[in-house]
Amino acid sequence: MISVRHLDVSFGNVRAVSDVSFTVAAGDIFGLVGESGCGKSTLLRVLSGLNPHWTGSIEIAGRAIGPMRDKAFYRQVQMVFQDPFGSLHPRHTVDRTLAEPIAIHGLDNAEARIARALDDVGLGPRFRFRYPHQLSGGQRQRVAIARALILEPSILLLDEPTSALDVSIQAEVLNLLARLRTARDLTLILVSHNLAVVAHLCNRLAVMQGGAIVEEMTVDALRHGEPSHPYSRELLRASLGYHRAAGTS
Amino acid sequence: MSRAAILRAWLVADTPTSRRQARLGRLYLQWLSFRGNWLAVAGLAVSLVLIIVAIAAPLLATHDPAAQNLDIRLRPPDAAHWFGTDELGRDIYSRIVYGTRITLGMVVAVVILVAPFGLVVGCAAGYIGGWFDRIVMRFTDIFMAFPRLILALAFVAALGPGIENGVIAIALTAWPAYARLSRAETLAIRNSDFIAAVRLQGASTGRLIFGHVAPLCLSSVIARVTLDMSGIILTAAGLGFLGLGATPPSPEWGAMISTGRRFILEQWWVATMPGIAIFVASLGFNLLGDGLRDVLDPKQT
Repeated sequence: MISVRHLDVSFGNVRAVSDVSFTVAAGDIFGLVGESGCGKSTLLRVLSGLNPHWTGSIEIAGRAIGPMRDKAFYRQVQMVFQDPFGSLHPRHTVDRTLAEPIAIHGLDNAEARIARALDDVGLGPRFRFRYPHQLSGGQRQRVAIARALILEPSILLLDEPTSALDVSIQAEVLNLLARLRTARDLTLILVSHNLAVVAHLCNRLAVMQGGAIVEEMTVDALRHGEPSHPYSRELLRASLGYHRAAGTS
Repeated sequence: MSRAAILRAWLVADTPTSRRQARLGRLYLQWLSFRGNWLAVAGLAVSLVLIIVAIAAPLLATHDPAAQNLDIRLRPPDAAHWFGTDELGRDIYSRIVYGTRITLGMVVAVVILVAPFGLVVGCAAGYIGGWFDRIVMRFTDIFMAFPRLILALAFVAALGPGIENGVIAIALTAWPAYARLSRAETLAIRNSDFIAAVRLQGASTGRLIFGHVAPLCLSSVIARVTLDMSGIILTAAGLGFLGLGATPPSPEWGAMISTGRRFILEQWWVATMPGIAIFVASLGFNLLGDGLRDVLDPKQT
């Protein structure tokens, strides 16, 4: 479904992503893990089309993708952002936010689509005419997910979708994403610094360090504690330590 | 519940059921916060009074503003002529009432010319960036390097005196401030996630600028316009005072002060009355603008 070959991204003299290659099969949930500044978000912004300055090759559904994207691409690939407080227009109601993609792509049945999108993310019609400041963080992130899914994409890019939320809400949103993936047959790429989140949702993952992928493995391999690269082992140990300290696992 | 209470509950409802209700509800909350600032309410009252006076000038005036009567020239204020008469025996009160039309007309004309243009140019420059931004901003630099009245004077001198040319001259000097303001606002929001999200839906640049960026800049432009109205009134009066704005015999406030200047020591009311009118009008708009800026601040949620 997604194939990335020898991707390089530079900001001035800084190489944010260097020679990254990976493939994601249709229906996969692929996790990108690494600490802050390792280039995982940059990688996602390249895939989504927000960052046009890269070299290498990207193929999506067998089609080569350039720096500039067309409308057909945006119907196929959508993104959910990290900060639910910044990703909704402060002066637009939920209704307006969801109506916008429908208007851009000239789709029919706007009313029904908006109602269904809200239902799908568990918000219902009560929230339709609220402004973002009348919603909680979790509700905003649900609206952002609804906005991404209203164009019925086949690929959803998730940039730390839960890291700005309360721990109790995180699981809800992750379960929602898992449910929507099954219902809609989505391919997901999840970027996170949190190994527990990735292990909860994904079936395959890649560990990034300093702009490069150091190891790719399945989540099962991770669960059995078999990462081979020292950096992945360190990450795993750090996340286990956190869990023991917090007493959640 | 009384009807007012039902309406109030409908307006502040936590779960609006229609687009209209959501919009009206937000306006109502903004009105509540505006109402809490009594200076702003006073400014709004002054502005409304000015508008009513301008519309109802023929009803409010006691005399024909152009009617001369040399027998009663330079009379002090009395029961027949509330603000006295000028050097040609014209009733100053009636002239000030009719002058409201000229002043407000100029202000409205300038604002209609300037605010949308500055907003669109500024948002486009800020959002598109690159060479377009650089060229537009250098143009605003050129205009802003001159004191406003001096530049307006130069334009009027070139175009010839008159109200229309005065409006054009003031508009030419006023737009750069709006372009700079909306550009600065645009730069602050262009990299936010909600703009990126709309880009990722495939929105065109025009749609982004007009539908998503400009509405966020609009509130500060509105506040700035209201604050600027006093400046426009003063510039218009300044042009009139220098004989480059409205031409006699039209009752423009600045021109009235200019003729009253000759008698200011013996017949103080000829220059003072239009001066008070200019003062009240510009102060009213200034207070209104201050209040609007507090209410419309987009950083508040």
